[in-house]
Amino acid sequence: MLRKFSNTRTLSDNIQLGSLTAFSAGMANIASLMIFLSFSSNVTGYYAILAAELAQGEWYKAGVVMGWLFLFFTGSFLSNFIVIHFNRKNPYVAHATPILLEILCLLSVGVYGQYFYKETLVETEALLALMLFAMGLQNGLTASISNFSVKTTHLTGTTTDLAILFSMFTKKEYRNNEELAGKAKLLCAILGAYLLGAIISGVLYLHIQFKVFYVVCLSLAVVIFYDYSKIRLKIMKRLNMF
Amino acid sequence: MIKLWGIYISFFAVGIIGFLLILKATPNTEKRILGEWKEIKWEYDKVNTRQQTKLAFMPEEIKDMVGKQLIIHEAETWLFNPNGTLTLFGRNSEKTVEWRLKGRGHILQLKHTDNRTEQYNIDILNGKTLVLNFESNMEVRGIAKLTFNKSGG
Repeated sequence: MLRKFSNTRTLSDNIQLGSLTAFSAGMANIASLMIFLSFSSNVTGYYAILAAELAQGEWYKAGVVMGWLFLFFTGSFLSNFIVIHFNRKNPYVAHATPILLEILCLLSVGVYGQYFYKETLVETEALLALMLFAMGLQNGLTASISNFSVKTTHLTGTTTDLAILFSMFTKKEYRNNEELAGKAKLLCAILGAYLLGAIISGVLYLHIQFKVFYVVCLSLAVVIFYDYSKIRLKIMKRLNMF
Repeated sequence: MIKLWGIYISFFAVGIIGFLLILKATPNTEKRILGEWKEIKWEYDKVNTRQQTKLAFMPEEIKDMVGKQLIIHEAETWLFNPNGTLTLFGRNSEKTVEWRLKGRGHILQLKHTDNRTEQYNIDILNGKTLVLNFESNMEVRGIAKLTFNKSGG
C-alpha cells in the first residue's frame, strides 16, 4: 500500500490504500460530527462558511474557520513535503511518516477527550483543528503517492468522478476500457469504505464515546503494519535464498 | 534557495500568528453569551403544514405544541452563568440545566439533568440580541426561531 509511488502503483495497491484510509476518514468525520457537532474534513463547506461569517462580521468565527482551513492545508503540505524529500532514501518510511503523524493527532484527540475534555469552546475548536490537520495529512499522502487518483477524506470529487464514469459506461467503448473500469472500482471502494466507517463510528460512539478514536488509529495502524510485514517477508525470503 | 525557504517559513508563521491574533483580539461566543436574556418572540418558519404558511409570530397553541417536549418550555428569561449552568426562569417555575457551545461556537447544546440534550443554532449574537433556531420534527415540522433581548445590565 505504502511502498510504491505514483505510476508504479497497481489498481490493487490503490484500492487497498483508498479503502482503509477512507474507512478511517469516515470514522473520524462522523465521530467529530457527533462529539463536536462539526465536520473534520468538509473543506468546501468551510470555505462557504468562512465567506458567510466574514459577510456577517463574525470575526471570531471567521478566524476559527480560517485557522481550520489553514491547518488542513498545512497537513497536506507537510505530507507531500515528507514524501518528495525522503522518498529516495526510504519510500516506506517517507510514506508511513504522515500516517504515523495522523495516528498521533487522532490519538491525542482520543486521550484528551477521554480524560481532560471539559467541553469548553476553546477545547472544541482546538481538537477540531487537530483533526483537520490530521485529515489534511491523510489526504495529502494518499493523493501524493497515488498520482492524485486517491483522495479519501471528502467525497465531492469522488461522487462527481463516479457519476461521470457511470455516464461514460453508457457507451460500449468506455465500458470495455479496463483503465476506466478500474477507476470506477477504486471510487466505489472508497465510497463504500467511507460509508461503512461512518456507520460503524456512529454506532460505536453511542457505546464508547471518545474511545472511538482508538479504533480509527487501529485501522490506520493496519495500513502501516501491513506493508511493514510485507517488507520483512521480502527480506526473510532474500536471506533464505543466500 | 535560502530565499525560497524564507518565503515558505514566513507564510506558515504569518498564518499561525495571524490566526492566534484574531482569536485573541475578538471576544469568543462563550463570553458574549453570558448574562441574562429575556425572551421576546417565537417565530416559525418553513412550516410543513397544509397551508405552508409563514408565521411572523407563533400562536400560543403552536408554541405549546413545539415547545412542550423541550427543556426550555415555559422559560421566559435565560440566565447564562460562567460555570456552565443555565437558569431558566418561567412565570411560576425555575430550572437549571447545563449549557455548552459546540462547533465554531455556532451551536448551543443544553443538557438536562436526565442527560437529555437539545441543540440550537445561534443565528445572531451581539450585545443586544440573541436569536436561536431549532428544527422541530415532532407534532409541527419546521424551523422555529427564538429571539431574546439582553437584560439585567
